[in-house]
Amino acid sequence: MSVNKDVFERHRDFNYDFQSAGSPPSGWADAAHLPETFVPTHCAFCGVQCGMFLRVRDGQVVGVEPRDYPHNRGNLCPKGVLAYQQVDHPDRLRHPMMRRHGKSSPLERVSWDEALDYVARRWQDIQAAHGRDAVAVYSGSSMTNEKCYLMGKFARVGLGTRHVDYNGRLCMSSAAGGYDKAFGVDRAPLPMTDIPLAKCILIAGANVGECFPIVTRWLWEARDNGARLIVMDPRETPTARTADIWLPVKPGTDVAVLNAILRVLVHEGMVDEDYVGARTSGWEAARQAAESFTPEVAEMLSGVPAERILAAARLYGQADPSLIMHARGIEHSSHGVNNVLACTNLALARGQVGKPGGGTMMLTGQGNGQGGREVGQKASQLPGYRHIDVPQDREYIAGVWGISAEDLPWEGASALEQVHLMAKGEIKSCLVVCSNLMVSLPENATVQRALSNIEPLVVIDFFQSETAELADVVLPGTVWCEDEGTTTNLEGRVIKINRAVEPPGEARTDWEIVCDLARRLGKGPLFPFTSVRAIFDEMRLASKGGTADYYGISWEKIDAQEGVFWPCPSEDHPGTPRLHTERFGHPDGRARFFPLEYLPPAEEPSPDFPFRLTSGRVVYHYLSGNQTRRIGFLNSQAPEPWVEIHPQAAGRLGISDGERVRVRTARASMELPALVVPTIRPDTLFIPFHYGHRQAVNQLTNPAVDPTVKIPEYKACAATVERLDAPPPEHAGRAKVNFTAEDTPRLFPYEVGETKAPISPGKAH
Amino acid sequence: MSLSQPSASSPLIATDGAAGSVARHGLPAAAAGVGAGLIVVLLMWAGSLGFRTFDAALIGYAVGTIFAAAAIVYRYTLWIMRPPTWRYFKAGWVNFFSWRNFRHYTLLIPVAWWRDIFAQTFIRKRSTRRWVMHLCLFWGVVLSCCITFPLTFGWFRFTFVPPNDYQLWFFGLPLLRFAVEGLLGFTIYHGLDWTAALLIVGLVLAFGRRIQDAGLLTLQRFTFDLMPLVLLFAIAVTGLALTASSTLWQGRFYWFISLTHEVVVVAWLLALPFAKFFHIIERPASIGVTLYQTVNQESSADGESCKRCGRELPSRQFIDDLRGTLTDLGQHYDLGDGQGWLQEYCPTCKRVLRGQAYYQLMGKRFL
Amino acid sequence: MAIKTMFVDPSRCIGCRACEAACRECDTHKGESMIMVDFVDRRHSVATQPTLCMHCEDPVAPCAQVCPVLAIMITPEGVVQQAEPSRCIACRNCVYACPFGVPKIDLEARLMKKCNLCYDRTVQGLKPWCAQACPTGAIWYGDYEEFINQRRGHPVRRTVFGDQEVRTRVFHVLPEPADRLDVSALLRQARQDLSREEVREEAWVLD
Repeated sequence: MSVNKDVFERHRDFNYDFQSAGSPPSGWADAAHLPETFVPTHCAFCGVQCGMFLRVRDGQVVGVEPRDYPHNRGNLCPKGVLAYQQVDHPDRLRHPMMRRHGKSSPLERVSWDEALDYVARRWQDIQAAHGRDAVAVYSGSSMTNEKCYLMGKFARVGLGTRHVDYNGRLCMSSAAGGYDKAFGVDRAPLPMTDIPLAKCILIAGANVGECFPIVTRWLWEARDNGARLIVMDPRETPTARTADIWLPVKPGTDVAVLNAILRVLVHEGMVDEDYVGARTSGWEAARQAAESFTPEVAEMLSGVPAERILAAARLYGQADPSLIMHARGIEHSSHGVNNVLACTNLALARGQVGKPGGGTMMLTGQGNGQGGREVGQKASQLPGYRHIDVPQDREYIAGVWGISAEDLPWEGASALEQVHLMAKGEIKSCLVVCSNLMVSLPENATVQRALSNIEPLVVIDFFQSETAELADVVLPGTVWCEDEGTTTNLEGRVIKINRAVEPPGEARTDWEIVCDLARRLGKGPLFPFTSVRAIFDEMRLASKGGTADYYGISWEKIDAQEGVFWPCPSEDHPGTPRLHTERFGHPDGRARFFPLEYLPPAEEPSPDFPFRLTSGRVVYHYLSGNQTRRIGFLNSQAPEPWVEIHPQAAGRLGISDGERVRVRTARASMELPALVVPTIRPDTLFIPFHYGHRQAVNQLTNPAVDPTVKIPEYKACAATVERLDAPPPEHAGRAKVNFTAEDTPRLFPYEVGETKAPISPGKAH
Repeated sequence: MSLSQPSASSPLIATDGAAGSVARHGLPAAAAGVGAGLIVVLLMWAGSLGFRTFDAALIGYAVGTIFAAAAIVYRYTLWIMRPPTWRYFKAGWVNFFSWRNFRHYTLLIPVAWWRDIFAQTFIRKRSTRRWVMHLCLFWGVVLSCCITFPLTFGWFRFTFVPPNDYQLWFFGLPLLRFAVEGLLGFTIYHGLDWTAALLIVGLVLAFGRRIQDAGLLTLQRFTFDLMPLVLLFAIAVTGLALTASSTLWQGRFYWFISLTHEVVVVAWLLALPFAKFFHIIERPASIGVTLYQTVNQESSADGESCKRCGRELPSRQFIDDLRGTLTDLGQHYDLGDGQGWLQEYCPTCKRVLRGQAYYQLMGKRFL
Repeated sequence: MAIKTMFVDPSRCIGCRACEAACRECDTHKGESMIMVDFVDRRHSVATQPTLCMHCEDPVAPCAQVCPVLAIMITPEGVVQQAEPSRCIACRNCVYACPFGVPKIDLEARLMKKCNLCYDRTVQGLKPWCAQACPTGAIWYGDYEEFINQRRGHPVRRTVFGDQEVRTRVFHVLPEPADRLDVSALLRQARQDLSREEVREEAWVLD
């Protein structure tokens, strides 16, 4: 954690104050009663999916109990401990709400029938008038595989729209794209329990201590075994603090450092030539591309001292096995796929991928971020990691779904593109599930315009999120422990979530709502599900033969084996904890190297905006904070955002610690308290992103995206910070714009899974 | 064996330096105890007009009371002599008799008595249910005592005034005359039944809490936490049974019930200075502490503050007294180099100081 | 020494406050945390440190010794309990006497509260909540031999403040073999280093 809560309440005496940690609502305070049952399940927050028991009494979740599961060994982070407090929360949505008389009327309570009939009728009207693609589905990944699967199917079968995408686009698409290209399989190739085998761990752009506290457990265990730790981050995070080498990189310049390390490996003979020759292709081009990245060039580009790069390269290059862990720090970039490939290049050059404890490991952020992107709610994908523009894949899925492949829509717009289509008026209505666009998308002024431009905006959520506030119809869904199903954690381990209690009030599970909507759209026979298990079984079948093959997984097997790693193609298959041990996912079985040039971030500092602004997470909050900001303890630790600024910069600007300041970019400005600390680069500002309205850092961020996978560049834009009494600027100012969302250089020719152009004629957009 | 030990079979030992206290103050404390016993005898003698009005049937209660009084005073004296207690005791009285107190805080003591002793509002902050429970127990016990002790000591007696009145005498003085069959009479005869009912309400709440609350279930000790409730319950039930025997059961089992009642009441009396019941004796000290805190806090002109962060500390006298107490106990937390005593830092800063020392040792190393 | 106790190693702490959150789940003080995570000095570092009751053995429980009403009791195993609610009068002696800054006090409820070493869990053979949740092993529960076998570092149980030494049931983990953690000597060193601080700024951060 980078900030103490006294920053937010300077004059409070925390010595005596029991309430300072946020008192729990009354229900939990008096809940020191013995629980009746312990329901085994997993945490709802983050991709680690720690095992836990929920303590249940009188149909209420009253607490949590540790569960000794293989990947968390009974440990929990603060979010995990408190996850249960969202269940019986007073803010829960308990009945459907609707604006009966247009956008300006208030949300009022309606019956399920009225709400669903209205939505179904409106959608039918809109689709009749403007075509099927005028209705979109914007889904999320923080829900079970079964629900994610159903969202994809509902969009393509229930609505018949091509526009379905999900918030994993903002999270994992760089890593997914990178691993797909390099290894042919988008999954972390090894389980977390392998981490302690590594002798050197390079963490690139991952604040492991805050974002994945439980991964720290394995990281520290590796260090106990003698592993060296290198951390590449513009901030000295709690993980970087004790690292052997900290590489304080300028946001958005990671490729320079990683290429320079590759060059050192080449020049100092640390490349595993046998492995490269036998199991990879494309090495020569990658080697040549790295040749110009001397440590000095890398220092000039990235600000990391050349000696540190050299030392890091030697530590990394001499260790065997060695592991690279990476996350949004390098992936939230207008060339996020490149950054990931720079990591895979290193690991392949060292011959590490496929070894126990070696290779690369993406750290998936969302609760079901891994599973959510495999089961076909991504614009370009069908269940089982099938691609929507591959004829065989289309045939197979159409067969499972009982429709003709002709009727299966083609690839639609990605998350951010959907928003642009809404703003332009091409998309007239949208179903938002499990997502809070108003907090999570960059430059949220555009998002607000887009969401106000459609009617109806239908939101399924269990709390009134910033997005639900704009909705025309709000449907109350369930929190994770009011439903059952499977999720897939960041290792690719499929696990089981169990139902502990009934939904409150009139709330219904998301899958029941969607099936009901399908029925009202006349597609009932295609959605005959009466249980989650039925959805799971269809999903298994749909994934059969795909990359992410779940066919051999059953709930019983998950219980018996404490999770099953996909691919698991048959019932007698034990699952695959380690990938790439023999061959890679590409047809020739070889991994790919990629030659990588350095590309600057889309926006860079200019005299008007001299800082690089980056955003990130806080250990107490999850995603848009819609859940965690409502949980007393978590919110009291970090109730509002702040901006981290180095004392040298602060001194120059006359900013003192704790003072409220204004941070401006070319798009907007916001006011927030300054935290003046030396644990950040002097040319960089940091603001956490979990907050809404005037506290959302996404008012400021740059909507530039990676051209292939469309991930927004949250981690680097040009900004300035000033005292509140500074005179207002005469003009908004100009950043150094290297690219815009439209003209970002394409790094690769479009490949399968990325195309916008449908193969069959007549369906062209 | 330390006298402050809550109970012989309890798993808890109170370590408070009382063993040394017994050695040093044992004799004066014993003397005070004996004195107190004698005073009670004297009061009985006076109240019962030289034992003429003394009810011989109550001899067991009377003897129990005498021994209980002696034990309470003995224990109280030992307790008050402990260094931390003595400091508060002394300073409490000094503050009480100070001009500042009389001038500015005339109402402080009455309000504190009301708040801390009679209404016990602080328990309400712990939980409303506990507050209700404790008020029932407290008033049940206090009112019962107000009735029983004067009766036992012979301070109260009734005489029949023909044709159909009773005369109530207190210390040989006529206090009240009421009709034998009247409502007032009924209320007075059954005074102890009402208090017993009050007690039982409190006890039911207390037992309910103790068999439901997961935390209490693991932490509570039978002798310390449950035994007192059992004892009070036995007193209330046998007391009610006495009434039942005389009014409903035509006096059957009366002798047996009254003997049982006597035994449990005497056991309770003798248990008063120990374990859980000790709080009954000790609790009024909170008045002194309130006085100490309020009057002193006010007196230090600009307040005492933490040496590191500048946050307010209780008061100069508090810090000095605490240092004195620690010195008495043989502990010296002087950091040296003019950094003052550890006690001159707020709790957070004490932790941070240790953290900084550790950081000095570790730096950015990882173990 | 088969006695199970806590080992505190701040070098592993990432400041996530999982311990604080977990402590509040204990049935005996639901919703209130008895463990504290503090920044050592946020103006210089993100280093944090967890503090739980050290359960002083010699001098035995200074908090209990300075309690005027004998409210703080100690189990035969040496676990210092929080104040007995029927006795505590909230005088704050324990809060300020404690050399480690542990006891918390609720002035309104007239009650001091502190870590009981999760008696309710340990009697069932479970780890205390904080050690159970801690993802990093900064708070570790077990016996001395187990620790020596599983972990690096040298546990010490003696802390020195000036002339006063305190032996505790809970261990601090130090990097080198040492017999004690000398707080005042280390603080003196820190003050001396601080006066030479300008030198420590690294050139690369001067943009």
